Amino acid sequence: MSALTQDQIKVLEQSRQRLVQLTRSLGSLIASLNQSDPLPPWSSLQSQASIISNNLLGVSEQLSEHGDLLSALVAYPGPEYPGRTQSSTLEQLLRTKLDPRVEDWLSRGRVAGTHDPDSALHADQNSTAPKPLSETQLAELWEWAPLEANEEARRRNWGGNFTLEEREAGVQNVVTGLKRQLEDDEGSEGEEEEEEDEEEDEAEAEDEEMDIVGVHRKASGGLEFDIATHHAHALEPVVPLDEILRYMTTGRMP
Amino acid sequence: MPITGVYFVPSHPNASTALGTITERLRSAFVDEDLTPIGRWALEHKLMRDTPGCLPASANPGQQTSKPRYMQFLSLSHYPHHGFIYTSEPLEKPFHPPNAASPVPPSSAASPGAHPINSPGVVNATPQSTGSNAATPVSPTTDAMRMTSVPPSAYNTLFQHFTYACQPFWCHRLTVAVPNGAVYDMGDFRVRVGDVRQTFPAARVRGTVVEIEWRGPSVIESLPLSDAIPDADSGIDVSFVAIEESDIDAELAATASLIREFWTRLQVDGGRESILVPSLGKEIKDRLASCKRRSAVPAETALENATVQEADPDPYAGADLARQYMEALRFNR
Amino acid sequence: MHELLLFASVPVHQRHELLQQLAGLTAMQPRHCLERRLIFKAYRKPGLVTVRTGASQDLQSAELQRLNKMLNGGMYYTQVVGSVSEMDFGGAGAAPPGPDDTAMTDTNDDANAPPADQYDYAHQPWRLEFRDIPEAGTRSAVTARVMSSAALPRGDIVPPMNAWGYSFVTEYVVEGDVFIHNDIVIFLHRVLHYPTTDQEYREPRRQLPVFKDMAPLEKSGSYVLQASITVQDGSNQETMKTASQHLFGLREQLKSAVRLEQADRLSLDTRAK
Repeated sequence: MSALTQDQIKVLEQSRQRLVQLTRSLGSLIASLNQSDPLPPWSSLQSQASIISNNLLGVSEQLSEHGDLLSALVAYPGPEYPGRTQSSTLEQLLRTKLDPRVEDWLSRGRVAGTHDPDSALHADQNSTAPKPLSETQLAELWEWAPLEANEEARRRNWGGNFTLEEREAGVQNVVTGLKRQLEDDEGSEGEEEEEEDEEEDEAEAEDEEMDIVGVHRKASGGLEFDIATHHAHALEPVVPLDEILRYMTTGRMP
Repeated sequence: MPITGVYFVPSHPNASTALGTITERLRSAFVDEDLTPIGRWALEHKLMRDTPGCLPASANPGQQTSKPRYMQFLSLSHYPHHGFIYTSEPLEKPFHPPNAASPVPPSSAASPGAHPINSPGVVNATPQSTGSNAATPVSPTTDAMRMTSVPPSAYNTLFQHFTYACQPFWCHRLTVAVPNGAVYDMGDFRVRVGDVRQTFPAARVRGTVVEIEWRGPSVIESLPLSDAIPDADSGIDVSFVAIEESDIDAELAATASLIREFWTRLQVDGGRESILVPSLGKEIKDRLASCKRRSAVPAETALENATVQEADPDPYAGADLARQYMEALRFNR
Repeated sequence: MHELLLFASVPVHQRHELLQQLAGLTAMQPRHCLERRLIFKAYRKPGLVTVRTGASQDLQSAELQRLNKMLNGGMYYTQVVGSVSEMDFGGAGAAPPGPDDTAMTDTNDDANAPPADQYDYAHQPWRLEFRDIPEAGTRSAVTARVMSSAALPRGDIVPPMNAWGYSFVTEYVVEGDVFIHNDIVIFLHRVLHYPTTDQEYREPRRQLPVFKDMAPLEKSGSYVLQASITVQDGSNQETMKTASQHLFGLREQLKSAVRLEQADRLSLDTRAK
C-alpha cells in the first residue's frame, strides 16, 4: 500500500469540485422552484436545467475517466483523523456498501441505461417506479398529443382566457401562474385556428380559401376528417345514388 | 389545302406491281426533272362495313340486300395531325326518346310508321330546327359519305371503340397500308407513289397508288385558314370576298384536268382515277363562307374568336385528299 | 383502358366541408368544371338481323358463325361530353336581346353566327366517352369497367354520330369540382337539368339557357362523389390490384366524412337493349 501521488490527489480534488458544482446547481433549482412566486420565467428554468445537465456530464466524464484509480482506492482513517467529532462522516467513508437509497438509484439507472426500455417495462411489470418511455413511445406520444389537444380544444367554445368552469367558479380564484393579469373578455373572438395550423401541413401549401375543418390521425395511420354533426337545414338526398347513376348512363329518368 | 388527284393501279396477288413501271415512266416522261426522292411517305387504311351487309346472300334469303354501308379510317404521314374517318350517311335519322322502351322492335320489318321519328306528333314538336335535322331520310340513291377528321390519338381509340362496342353494325373487313412510299417533285407537281399492301385479314399485295399534287398557283391556297388571326398591319384581307363557290368548283375542275394530263403522260394502263369525288371541296367552301362571315364582323370580334381556338388551325386539312384515297381504296369486300 | 371507381352520395349541406377536406387532402384547390353530356344510343336498322344458322355447311360457316356472333353482340349507350363555362349559358354577359337570344330560333344562316361572347355551338369541342357495363363478379369491392375516351370534331356532332350508328337520346349538364390525389381523380358533381319546356329536344341544344334556370336532377341538390383511377392495361392484374388498393386507401382516409362504395352494377349498365 502506497501513499497517493500528487496527481491522484488532484483527481480526487477535481471530482470533489464537480460534485460540489452539481449539488449547488441542484440546490439552486430547488430553491427557485420552492421560493419564487410567481414561478421563475421559463427561460431561467431552462438555463438552470442545462447547467445541471452540463454538471452531470462533467461528473460522469470525470468518474469514467479515472474509473481505474477511483475503484482501486481504499479509504482508511489516519491516526490524525478526528474520529470522535467526525464519526458520522467516518462511517460514511468507511462503508463498503452503498446506501440502500443510492443502491436503488443505481439499479434504476443501470436498467434504464442498458436495457431496451420496452422490455424493461415488461420485466418490471410489478414495479411501481415510473417507467421511462421508449423512442417509439415518445414518438407516439408526440403524434398523439397535438391531435388530442386539438380535439380537446375543439370541444370547447374558444374565444376567451378562461373556461366556462373557471368563470363559474370565479375568475379571481384561478391560479394562472402568470405575472400579468388576464382579462376576461368574454365574447371577443380568439385565434381559434392557431393550433390547427401545425397539424395539417398539407393545408399550408395553398392559400386559405379552403380550411380544414378537423382532422385526426388514426392508429392505423390514415387521416380522419371531422364533419359537422348537425346542420340546421340538413337535406338528405331523395333520389338514390343508383338512380342518379342510371340516369347519367342512359338518360332514363328516375 | 392543295388540289390533288389519286390513281390506283390494282395488281394480281402474286404478280409484281406497277410501281417499277410508274417510276420508270416518270423518269422518261420528265427527262429534265431530277428523279430523286425528296422524301418518304406512308399510309394506312382500314375498311369497316356494316355487319349485316357482310353476310352472304345465301344466309339471308328472302330479305332484300340493302345498300352496303362503310366506315373507312385513313391516316397519312403527310397529315400527321389528322386521322380521317369517312362514313356512309345513315339511311334515316333515328331518335330515341330517353324513357321509351326499345323504339324499334329489332325483328320487325322496316315499316317507317313504326319508327318514332316518323310519328306525326314528334315531328310537329320540332319546329324549324336546322336543315340537317330531319325526319326526311337521306335519299337512298346517293352514296353520300361523311368526312370526319380527328386527332391521331382519337383515331386509334375510335377504331378500337367501333370494333369493340359496335359489332352488330360495324365489322372490320380489311386493312391496307403503304409502308414506304417515295415522294418526287416534278415541276409544278409533287408525286407520291407506293405499293399498297393488305395486312388484314391476310397479307397480300393490292396494287400501287399514285398521288399527284398540284403545287402551282391556286386561288384556294390563297384563302386564309378559317381561324387564322388577321394580319394586324394589313388589316383584314378582303380579296377572298370576291371569290364565289363557283370559282372553287371551276378551279377544282381545271386542276383536275391538269392532273389527268400529267397522268396521261405516264401512259400507265388500268389506273383507277379518284379526283372529282363526291363532296370534293366541301371544307374549302365552308372555309370561304366562314371567311366572308368573318369579314362582316368587326376585327376585334374576329380576333377574340381566333384566340379561343386550340392548336389545330385547320382541323379539316387534307380532307379532300383523304376523300380521294377513301374512294380509291374502298375495295369491295 | 380500364377504369376503377368508388362512389358516394353527398348531401348538399355537406358539400362545402367536403370540398375543404378534399382541398386539404389533395393539397390543391378544386377545379370547377361544367360539362354538357349528350347521351347517344347505338341503333340497328330494323328488319335485317335474322340469320339462318346451321343451314350453311360450307367452308364459310366459320366466318358465318363469327358474323352471327357479331350481329348478336352488345350495343351500347355512349356519351359525348363537351366542356362549357358558365359564360356560355344564356344571360351571361350583356348579350343583346335579339332573335338569337330566344332559345329556339335555330338558324343555319352563317351571317347570324353568334358573337364571340356568346355560346358558339359550331365550335364546341367534344369527346366520346365510352363505358362498358362494369365487370361482373369481381372479387374486389370496386367498380371496374372498360373505358375509352377520344376527341371528336368540334361543332355539330350529331351527323357523324348518326353516321357511325348512334342516335341522340337526351342531354344534361354536369357541374362539379375535380381534385387530383396521386393517381386518383376525385370528382364531386351533380346533374343539372335544362329547364323543361313544351318542346321535346331531339338533338343537342344550339344555345344554352340562363344558368340559374338549370335545376338539379336530385331535387335536394345532393352531389355524387366519384373517385376513379384509369388503368392503361386492364389485363395486368398487378396494376389493377394496386389501383384498387389506392382507392381503398382513399376510402379509409375519407371514412369519417363519406362512405365510398362500389356502385350497383346494373345502375351503370350501358348496354342498349
